[in-house]
Amino acid sequence: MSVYAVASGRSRVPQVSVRDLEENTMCFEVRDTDCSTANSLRRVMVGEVVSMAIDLVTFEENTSVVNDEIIAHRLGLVPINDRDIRRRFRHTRDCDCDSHCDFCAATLKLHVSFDDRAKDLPEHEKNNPLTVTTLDLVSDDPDVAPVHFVSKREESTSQETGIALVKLAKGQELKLTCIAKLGCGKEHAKWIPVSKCVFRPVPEVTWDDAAVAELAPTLRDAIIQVCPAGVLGYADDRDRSKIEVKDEAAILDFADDIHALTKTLNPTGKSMLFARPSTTNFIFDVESLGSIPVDDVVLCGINELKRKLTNLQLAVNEIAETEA
Amino acid sequence: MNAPERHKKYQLDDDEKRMTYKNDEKIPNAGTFTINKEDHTVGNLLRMQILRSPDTKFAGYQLPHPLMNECRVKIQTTSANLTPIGAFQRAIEDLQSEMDILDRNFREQVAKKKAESG
Repeated sequence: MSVYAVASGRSRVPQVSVRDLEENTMCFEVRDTDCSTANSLRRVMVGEVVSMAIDLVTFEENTSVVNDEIIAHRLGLVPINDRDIRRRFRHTRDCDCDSHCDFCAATLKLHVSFDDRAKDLPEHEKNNPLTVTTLDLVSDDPDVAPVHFVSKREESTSQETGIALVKLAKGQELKLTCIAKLGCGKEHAKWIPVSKCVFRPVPEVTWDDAAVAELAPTLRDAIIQVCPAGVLGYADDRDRSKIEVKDEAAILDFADDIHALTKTLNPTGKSMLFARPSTTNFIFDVESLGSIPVDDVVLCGINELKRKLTNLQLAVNEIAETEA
Repeated sequence: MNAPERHKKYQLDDDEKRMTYKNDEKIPNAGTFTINKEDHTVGNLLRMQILRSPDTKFAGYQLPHPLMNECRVKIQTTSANLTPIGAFQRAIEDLQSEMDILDRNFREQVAKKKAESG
C-alpha cells in the first residue's frame, strides 16, 4: 500500500537527519513533511508514550517533618527505568488481577531510620541531617529500578547520590511501600518520558551577497552587531566580505532588526536578508528523563501515531461497508 | 468520588465505537466523522492531510468540549465521485505511508549516527 501511495504523489516522503545524539538528548531534522505531522509527533511523545511511575504509596512510618502526601508526590515524579518494561508489563486496568500483580506493577520499598544510619557515622557527623534519596528505594523486581541520574556523565560529575526525597533528623524514620504502574502523560505528568520535546521550523535564509560585499567594512560590522554575539558572523574571517548566519535557531527573532538596518544601507532600499520559517522542514530537540532512551521515545511516538492511524483505518473501513 | 477514571480520556470502553459518521443532509458530498477518545493529535493531522487533496472543498476539525473526549472532523468534497468517507480513507493511507517512511528513515539515521560515534 505504501508503494502505491508514494507513486500517486499524494503522500509526503519525509527525510530525517540526526544532528546530535547524546546519551539523553537528541536533535534531529525532519524535512519534506508538514507542521501538522511534526506537531502530532511532538504531542504523542509528550502525552502518549507509555512509561512507568510510582502510583500508590503505603506509609508505615513517617516521623519526618514532611507530610505523607508530599513525599508520595515526590516519589511519583521519580523516573523508573525502562528495561523491558513495555514488553513485560501490561496496564493494571487490562490485567486480570484484583488490584495489582507482578504482571502489571512493581513494588519498591524504602526504610530509612536516622538512628540506625547514624550509628555507623563518625562522632562529628552524627547530628547532621540525613538525606533520603532514590538510592534508598529497594525494588523487588530486577527489571525495575529508579533512575538516579539522567546520564552517565551526570552521574560522574554530580555531587549528589541520587534524587533527594526528604531529609531526616535525629529520631526520625521513614518506612513505606510503593507500587509502580504503567501509564502515559495524558493521565498524569509523572508518566511523561521527556523533560524537553520541542520543534521549530528551519529558517530559510538567503543573503544579497553582492549588496553586502559592496558595503564598507564598518557597515558590515554594524550589521553583525545588530544581533547578539554569535548570531551572525563572517563566512571567512580573513576575507570578511560575506555575512552568514551562525545561529540559525535565533536568526528569525532578529530578522526584523536586520531588515530595518540593511534597508537604510542599501541604495535600492531593499533588505539584504531574506529569512522566513520553512513550512516543510523542522528541527526537533528531545531530552529524555533517563527512563526511556531518547531515540526510543521518538520511535515509540511514531509507533503510537501508526497505531492510532491503524485504528482509524479499521473504523473508517467499517463505516464505508455499512454506508455502501 | 464520581470523577471518571483517568484512562477514560484516551482508552475506549468495551461498548464504545472508535468512530461514527453522519452524512450532512443539507450540503452535498459532506459529512462529519466523530472520533472517540482522540484529540488535536489526530484531528489536525487528518484535517491538513485531507486539505492537501484538490478534491476537497472543505475540511475542518473541532473538539466540541474539553470534558468530552471526542474530535469531530467535517469534510466536504468537490464531487460525488469521492465521498467524504473516500477522502478520509485516502488521507489515512497517505499518512500511514508517511509514518512508515518516517519510521524507517529515523531508524536508519539513528543507526548511522550511532555507528559514527561508536
